[in-house]
Amino acid sequence: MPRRTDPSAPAPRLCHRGQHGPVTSTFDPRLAVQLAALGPLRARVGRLVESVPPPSDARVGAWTGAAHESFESALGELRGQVLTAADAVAAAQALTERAVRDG
Amino acid sequence: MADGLTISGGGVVAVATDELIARSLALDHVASEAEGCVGQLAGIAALGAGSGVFSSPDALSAGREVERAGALLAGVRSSSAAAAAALREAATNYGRLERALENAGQQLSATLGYAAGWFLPGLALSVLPASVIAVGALFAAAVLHPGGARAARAAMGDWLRQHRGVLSSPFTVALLRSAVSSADDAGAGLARVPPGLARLLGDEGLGLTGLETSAALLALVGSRFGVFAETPVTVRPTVRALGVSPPTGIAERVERIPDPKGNAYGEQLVIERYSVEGGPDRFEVYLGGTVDFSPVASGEVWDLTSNVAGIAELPAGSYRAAREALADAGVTPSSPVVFTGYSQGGLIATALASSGDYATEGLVTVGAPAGQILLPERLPVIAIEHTDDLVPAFGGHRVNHESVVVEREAFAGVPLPADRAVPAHDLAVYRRTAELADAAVSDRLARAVSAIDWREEISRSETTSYLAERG
Repeated sequence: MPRRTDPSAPAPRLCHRGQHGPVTSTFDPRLAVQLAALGPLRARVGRLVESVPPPSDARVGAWTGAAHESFESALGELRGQVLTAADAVAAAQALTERAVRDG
Repeated sequence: MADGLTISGGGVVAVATDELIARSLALDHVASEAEGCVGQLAGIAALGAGSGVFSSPDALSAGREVERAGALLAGVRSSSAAAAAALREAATNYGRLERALENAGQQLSATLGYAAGWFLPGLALSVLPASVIAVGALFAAAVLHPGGARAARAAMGDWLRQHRGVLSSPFTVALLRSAVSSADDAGAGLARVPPGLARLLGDEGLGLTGLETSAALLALVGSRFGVFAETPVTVRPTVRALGVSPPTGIAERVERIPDPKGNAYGEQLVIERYSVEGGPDRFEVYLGGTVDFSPVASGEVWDLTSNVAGIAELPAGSYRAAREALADAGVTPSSPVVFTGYSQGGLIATALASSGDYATEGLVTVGAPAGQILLPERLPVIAIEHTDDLVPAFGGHRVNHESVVVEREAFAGVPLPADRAVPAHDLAVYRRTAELADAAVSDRLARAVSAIDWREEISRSETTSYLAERG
């Protein structure tokens, strides 16, 4: 949120770029909504990381030998993809937070 | 002890370990959650869509990260859904392969058995069920040495304990199952029945001859020499108690199976009767395992004679005793009944369910040599077997593909107890498997359990133990 340093000064009016009137900030309220939505989403993606099955050394019935190894490798890739997505969401949250703060 | 379960049957071709099922369900969950995340990210991305782009570089970068996360999670959704489908497909293919191998193995063992009977009558004896040979030796010992039956039994017990490693091998169990199933073919070879006719009459053809024929022959010939000779039986209730709770799931039922050796009077059966509001009384019936392994029938009904007669699908002493106990407990042809049996109890439970004389609503067998007894297709059946337990193999190849079979190698990678000949057949070990089965994630097992469980309100309940005796 924009910080008010002088309590006697009129509060800056939040408006969107291109709106009429005095422009004291480029803050977009949709960024606040985005920030609010990214928190729970980040937690959800975090839970998703945990729900990807862990690697298994045990041979599981139908998956033996090369098939088993290939499946484990595919699972590893999947886990990596979810982790990268989690990082992207975390980055989006941090960037949005900064945009709101500096807006 | 190993805790991995393999679940097959239930009218489905797939054979899957519970771990495999759990993994495919986990991947389904990942796909569904990833889809939800993709939806949320699309909503977030749409916030900036109407106004073109945000002004600040951070906001722009955040938008790009949101889009990247959306693309990645869309990939996760499709990859995990594909992996879950591949797992299920693999389980199905594995099941198809296993069934094809089983059929091929059955054909091969039948052919080999027939050839052995035809060309090498001496060798044919070696493919006859191990029980026949063991019991024959026991009988010979009993005849040749005064009072020798007990000594022979003890000697056989020692021998079995010394060779428990071989006896508890899943390979031995599979071999025994094939040998047992091809005993009729070896007999056909010995009798010089034309091969085409033998195949037509056997399990692989019309199924007119099979394991039950071999067992019936054994009972018929044995009874002439005083072994496996059936006798009249009597049944009496011993202990009655009120206020029992209905069982749910598999483990609770298996827990209630009586252990005749540990009971006050040696009761082999327990029948629970539940009065239900607005409906016929319900019954839960529990049957224990073999008590006496002597081939000569004495006072105990749950003996080897009943085992042979039961596998022969003849009215075994324990089968007749169970029917009498059911009648005494008030079971009518319209009373809903669930049978649960261990070892010989499972064999008898299967025979009772197969008879069509009872309104059977479910059957749970534990380590039962009952693979060849044909059951109604729509009957919910759960068969628990250890792949290192010899006893179920005496029932031959399974004919009920609708039954849900839960298998576990009880002593995989674990030292075998020194005091047991076939430790994987212990009821206590099966109780552990029943607990694992209740905790399993398999859909078809859950469906079978749900079909066997009932939830009506009860107004009165009573449990009665029964003791059956010969004579």
